[in-house]
Amino acid sequence: MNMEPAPTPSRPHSHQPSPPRPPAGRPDRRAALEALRHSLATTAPAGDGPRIATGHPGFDRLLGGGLAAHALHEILPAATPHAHGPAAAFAARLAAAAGGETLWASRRLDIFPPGLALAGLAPGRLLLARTRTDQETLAAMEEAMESVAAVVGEILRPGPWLVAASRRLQLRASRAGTLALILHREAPPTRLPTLAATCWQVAPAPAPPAEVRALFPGPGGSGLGPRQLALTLARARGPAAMHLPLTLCLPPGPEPHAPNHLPLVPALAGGAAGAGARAGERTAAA
Amino acid sequence: MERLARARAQANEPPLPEPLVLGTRRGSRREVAACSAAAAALGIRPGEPLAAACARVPGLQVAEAEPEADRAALTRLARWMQARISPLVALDPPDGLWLESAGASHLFGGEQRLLQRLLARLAASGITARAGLAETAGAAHALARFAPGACTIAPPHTTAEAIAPLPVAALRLQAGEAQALARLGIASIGDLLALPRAALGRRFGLALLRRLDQALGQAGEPLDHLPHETARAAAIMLAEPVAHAAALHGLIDRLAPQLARLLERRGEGARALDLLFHRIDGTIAALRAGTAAPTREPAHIARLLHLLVEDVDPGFGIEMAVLACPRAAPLAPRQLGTGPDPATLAEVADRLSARLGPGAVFRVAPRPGAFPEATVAHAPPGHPAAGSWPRHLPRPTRLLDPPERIEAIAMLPDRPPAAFRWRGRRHRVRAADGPERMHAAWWEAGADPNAVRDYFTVELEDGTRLWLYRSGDGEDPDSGDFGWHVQGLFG
Repeated sequence: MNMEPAPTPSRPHSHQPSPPRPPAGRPDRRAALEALRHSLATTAPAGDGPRIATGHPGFDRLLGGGLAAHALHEILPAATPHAHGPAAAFAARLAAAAGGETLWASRRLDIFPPGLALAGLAPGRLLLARTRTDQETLAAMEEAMESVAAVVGEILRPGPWLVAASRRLQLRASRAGTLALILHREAPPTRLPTLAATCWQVAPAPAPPAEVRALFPGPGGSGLGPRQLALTLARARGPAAMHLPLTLCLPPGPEPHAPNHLPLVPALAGGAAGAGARAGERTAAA
Repeated sequence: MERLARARAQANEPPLPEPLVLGTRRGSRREVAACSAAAAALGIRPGEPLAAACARVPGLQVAEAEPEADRAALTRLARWMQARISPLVALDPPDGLWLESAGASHLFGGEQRLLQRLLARLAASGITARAGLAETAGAAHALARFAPGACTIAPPHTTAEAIAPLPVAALRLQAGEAQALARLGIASIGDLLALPRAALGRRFGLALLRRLDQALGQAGEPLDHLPHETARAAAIMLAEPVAHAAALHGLIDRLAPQLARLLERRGEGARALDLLFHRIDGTIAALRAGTAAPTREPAHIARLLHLLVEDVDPGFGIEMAVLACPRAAPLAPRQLGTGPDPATLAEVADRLSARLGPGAVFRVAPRPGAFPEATVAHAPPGHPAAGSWPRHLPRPTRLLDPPERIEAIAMLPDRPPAAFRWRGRRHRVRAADGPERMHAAWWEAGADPNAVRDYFTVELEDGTRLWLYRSGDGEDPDSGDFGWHVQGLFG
């Protein structure tokens, strides 16, 4: 049997060799630069750690290899009245991509586990927590982070307190190696400057035209066709920030979901968000 | 009376014939100590001379009362309550128990739920019980015995108002005092409170005033709490009392390893933990924590208690701390360094439960229910569910509970509506899929076996997909009223 040492997770802070010192006597510019680069690499948290790949080379490059798996992300429903259903589906897809168990905390636990199971979160991987306040939801996320692969906290009434809390969550998520998701119940009137690595707005993508739907006949008629979600990347760090807002499409996933993979495709022209779709095309061409 | 019935039932003996009374001897006369419901319906009251009762009710069955056996049964019940309900239980002979609800009611979802579950549990064991909850032992005693309902809770700071309408006998008066008060026209505790205190003291003595003060919380009443069994308890006596919170955390850190060693020697893990702080004024502050899986990890025990200890008021100072384990389960020794620790998720579940309350952290499991809301079962956090729901049927990510009625018109028997009105707004259906027919749970008692629902997935103009159903199969009015409902929101 071929025994290989397990690959060590690349964590920026787990082991830090001492920076190479410039040779004594004559100061060497190259060595000084090298030392500076090293200190930058060990202090900058972004850009490291495992990624959830989208499978699209353009997006993956923009996002630095995919969505940061050990980080905090924010999910907003679109401003339509019933977008919290699709937002929950996206959160479940992301959490399922993280692999392992997920804690789902909310003040109003109206999620339907069979639906989340279709999004990849099997009941054996789901732990639910009913909280009394939004602050308790965040505390529960923090508490559980070291023992589960992903935490999802649904926030009903965000306030300025969320900004400071998001900084704590982001730090804990990167340290514990957990995917943390703040799921907003409603589209907030003003966007808070949270410390989340990315912020996504989720809208239902309408079903394709009747001719396409005819290819997916349901039991009682033309059928609806597979469900797609229109995702607008509203905020991100790194190179993606230059291309915002960026609208992508989350097709119904292949089953079972592969870990660390979330297939995203460019939004169809004439889709849910017309303006954002062009940005997506531009990225696809890049 | 009920102890007798339970004992006979356990011994497989036939129940004693009715109407039944228990006789006891007081001085030279025999009187009725207790009577069955059938005897009470015939007008027999405890305290009545036995000869008079026998003369009035021909065929009255008399059995001998056994006060020692009653007391032993009461102690057994108290032990059970100490393990299951509250860490602080005191006997109130001949027929009462005092339970301290502070520090324990959070495990049951509040005081009301605690009392209801307690009474239901006792009723299931054949014990008729009444419960009262108040800020003082005296008021709780009065409410439990004399309040009109079987389960009465006096809200905080309203003890005097709560006991005012009760008769004066509720104050645990000595024999004769209640009759003397009644002769003066003082029937209720409210009448008594309206009288000048000095005059009352002169006329009836200090005992009456003391009972009144104890009921109102103006005089202390030390209760003789049942001691914990010492086999699973660790204690620290302090030479100097401590009164600040940091010291309490320090006590927990010292007690947890002690208890863990005790449990390890017994091969057990704790399922419940009691932390008792004895204050120097004789009162006890008690906390109870539950665990999702048996544990004897000192760090985990300490963390659970650290979360709860914030609520403890040290008062004048704490001179002794006891950490006891009233409920334990076998826990095999674990080898160190063999793979990931399986207990960590259970530990997180415990900590979350301690923070959020009991039942707030749970898992879900598939359940063979008929309608969607019945297909999800809640499971304790320690047991990951196996299996899943069918993968080929559309299911929403959010469920409206209860389903919301909408105004819709659709062709019978199997077409979705083209438009409907929901929450005051009109929605047009762009595309639809369905129906998926679900039949009622005919195998479950209480369900209408004929009920049918036809589920449709509809997509609105803005892309929102909703899960609608029509109750009834569209043909047979017995299967439902053909009304339309929204039950879910797709992802």
